[in-house]
Amino acid sequence: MTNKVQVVVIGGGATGTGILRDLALRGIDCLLVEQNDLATGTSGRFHGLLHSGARYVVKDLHSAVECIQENKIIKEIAPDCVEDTGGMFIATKNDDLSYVDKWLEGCQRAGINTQEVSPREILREEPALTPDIVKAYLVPDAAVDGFTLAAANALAAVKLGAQVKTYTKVIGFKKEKNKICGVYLKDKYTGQEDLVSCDYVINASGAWAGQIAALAGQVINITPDKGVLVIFNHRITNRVLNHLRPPGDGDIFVPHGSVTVFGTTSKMTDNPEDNEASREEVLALLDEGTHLIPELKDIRLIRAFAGVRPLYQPDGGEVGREATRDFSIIDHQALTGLEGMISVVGGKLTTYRLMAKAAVDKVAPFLGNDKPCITHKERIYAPVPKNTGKDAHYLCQCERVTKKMLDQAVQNKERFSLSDVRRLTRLGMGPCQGTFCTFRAGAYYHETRGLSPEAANKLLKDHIEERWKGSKAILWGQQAQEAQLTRGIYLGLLNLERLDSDSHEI
Amino acid sequence: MSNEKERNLDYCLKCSTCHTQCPVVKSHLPFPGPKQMGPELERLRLARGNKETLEIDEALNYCTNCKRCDLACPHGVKPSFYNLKNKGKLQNKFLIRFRDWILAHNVWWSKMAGRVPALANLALRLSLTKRAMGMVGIADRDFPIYRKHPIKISKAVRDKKALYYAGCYASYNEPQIIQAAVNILESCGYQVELAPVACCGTPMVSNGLWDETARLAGKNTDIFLKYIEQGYKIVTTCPSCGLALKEEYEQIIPGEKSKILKANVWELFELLEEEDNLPFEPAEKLADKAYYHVPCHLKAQGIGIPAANLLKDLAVDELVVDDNYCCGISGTYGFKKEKYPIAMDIGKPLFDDIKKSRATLVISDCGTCKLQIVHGTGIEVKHPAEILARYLKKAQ
Repeated sequence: MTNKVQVVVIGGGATGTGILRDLALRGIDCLLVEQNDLATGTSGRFHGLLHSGARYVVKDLHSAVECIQENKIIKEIAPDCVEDTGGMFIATKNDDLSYVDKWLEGCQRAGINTQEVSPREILREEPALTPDIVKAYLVPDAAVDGFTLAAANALAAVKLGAQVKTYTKVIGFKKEKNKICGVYLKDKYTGQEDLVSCDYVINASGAWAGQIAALAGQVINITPDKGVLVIFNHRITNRVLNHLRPPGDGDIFVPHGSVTVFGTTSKMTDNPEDNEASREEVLALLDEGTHLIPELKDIRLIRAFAGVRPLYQPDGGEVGREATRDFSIIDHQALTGLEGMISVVGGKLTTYRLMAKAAVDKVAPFLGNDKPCITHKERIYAPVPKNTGKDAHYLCQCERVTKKMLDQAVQNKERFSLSDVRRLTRLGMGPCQGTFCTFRAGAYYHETRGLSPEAANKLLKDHIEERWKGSKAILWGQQAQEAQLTRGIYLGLLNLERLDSDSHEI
Repeated sequence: MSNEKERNLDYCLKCSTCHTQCPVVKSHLPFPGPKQMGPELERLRLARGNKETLEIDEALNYCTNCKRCDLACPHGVKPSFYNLKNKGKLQNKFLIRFRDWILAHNVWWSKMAGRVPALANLALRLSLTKRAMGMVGIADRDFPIYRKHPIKISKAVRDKKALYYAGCYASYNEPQIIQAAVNILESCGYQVELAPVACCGTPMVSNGLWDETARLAGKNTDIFLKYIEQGYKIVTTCPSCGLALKEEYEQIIPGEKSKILKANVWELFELLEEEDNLPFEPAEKLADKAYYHVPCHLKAQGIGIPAANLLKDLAVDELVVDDNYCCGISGTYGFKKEKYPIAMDIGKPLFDDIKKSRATLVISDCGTCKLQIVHGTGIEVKHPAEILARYLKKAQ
């Protein structure tokens, strides 16, 4: 690679990849660095809801307005990443109906279309809902795939000449006088260190933004806020389901492909890598969820996980649910005099494009670039298109992942983990959580990519362990039995514990 | 979702045991198998609002509804339930739908043919008829012969009451099975009545007529319940009819009525197992060696093979009992032109095993299994009731 670019973007989530694409579309030479794979932070650890904004209309009207504008744009430019399921807000007989009026008024002010449907009609279409519905409204919510969205943004940028380095950690900044002029990087696999010179750095590392800023001697007051989510085996409703009450825990269900993602909670944490859900948190969530889906506890859970919201409060304001979902561009020059760096913090995945635009609008003039943002005009495409159903050579039957998709997922990649493949293809995301596809995928890459048996074994072991991590908090009922079957296959049959491959690198 | 059966897709552990037990998978590789057609695709169907069918759903036409997948599942999933339910949503070509509709309503044609059996049998043998059938996609194979035979039933009033449900095959093709079952029940002290019910609906539901079957099942259940209220036990000799009453009705018309029905249905020899004194006595053995082919739908009832011990004790010196094979015909399936080769391929290991055994008689409870075995081996096949009725005590 060339060791000089105009802009280094730090963070491979929706915001970082969105910024990279925006820069590339304006003809700015840029590089994105990400410490793991794309969308492994908050962009891959949320409920997958493309907000209509209706959730925020009462308390955070400004966010709501941004959401509905971006909602329309993302549906246009990223159809590969969005499933336009529509959404519904449901108030039950136990809810405070005076909130409904405030909510309706807010929706109107934000420009969000709502359509009232009778409880009877909505129950006919969505039979899993509680019969205690009093009010039901349809809104333009949708499901969005954060992994695909980040990958599609990155792909579009790369096609325009941008560079992406994953599994590369920022370990420091090179400063001249009081200006950033380079970034020190470390390859996570090889340990090799590198310096990339640049004119500008955009810190879009979300929950890690405080840590990155600290490397440049800056202080950003990020309050990481942990949200727990669970995944059910199948679709419970066909629309995004919201509880029509002041935003709280356990009031969003998002139908996502073949599964349902349900959440969330809100709890302050000091560690942005705090991404495990506990059994207590899951049980508390399920209790909440039964208000909307009475039979929720009988439906099979396949996974629990947590994400960290990178909430930003400039002057130590509200935290948690009360904190604004607005985003901020921190101009470090204005704050401390440090030139050549801005940080993009707060916000939501739904408004990632707007955040990217604001960031690049801020940076471009310093680079002598006056081209306008056109990210809302051009389509982006998923690197691995979904299987349309004709190819029946599945390696992962739960999610219908084909050999061809496995090939596409590792194209132009020197090294990869099965988790990287999973994020692009949904391999191992179904009910068996990788039990029956992991050994097939390992063997397939051994055959087609010439991986040594040790390297293929490592792929296999890492993936099984990663899948196991998300099962730990929900090991009862059917998924506990699935886990026993997984154990039987990998520990009993394949003797995974004694694989002599941990010392080998891929 | 409130339906318990709908949720059993959550029980699938993906272990693929059902896949290894599917006779169609073995003979017809393009068939994706019960795990995929059932609980796996059901998740994707739900993801499409359960409205539009998937492209791959066309493969449902190849499910024989043998129920071996249901039995194989170690975790209680019923892939056949999803297959039956989703067959009803398929949009097949008109000719296929027409042909399947004809086969599904076998009871109507049987009723007509049963009035004039000689004429019907002659007509079915005409090459013109066969040509016409071939044109609508019906395989060129022998049809069951229609027979008419008055049934003798005692009018005596007794405490023990049985409502015998013979089903279409015995009613129109082998009425001697009905007489045999009636004789056995009466010898056991039952007051017997013939059920005023024609088709159970299995041929309809396996041909995708879910709604029509639901209406028929509701009607039939009401009739059976009237008798059950009067203390009648429902007795069957056809494995598929028995399974419909015991299991399929509960899936098709879930509710209290189908539950009561299910609890009051006995297979004839299952009922005999509860009798203290059996009315049989030894007589001359019918064969040195016989081969008992256990029909898939008898196996699926989960009652074992209740006639086998009686047959061993009374009728044959050596009885080979085998429940490993499916004969392949699966009701109307083997009568379909494009499925006929698959049906014969599925049945081949059974035919070979029967021939290898050198048995001179095959025993099987199922009428269509019988047609297939005779077609595949040329060896005579009899219903166990027909055989065991010969050994009833004469004194009674």
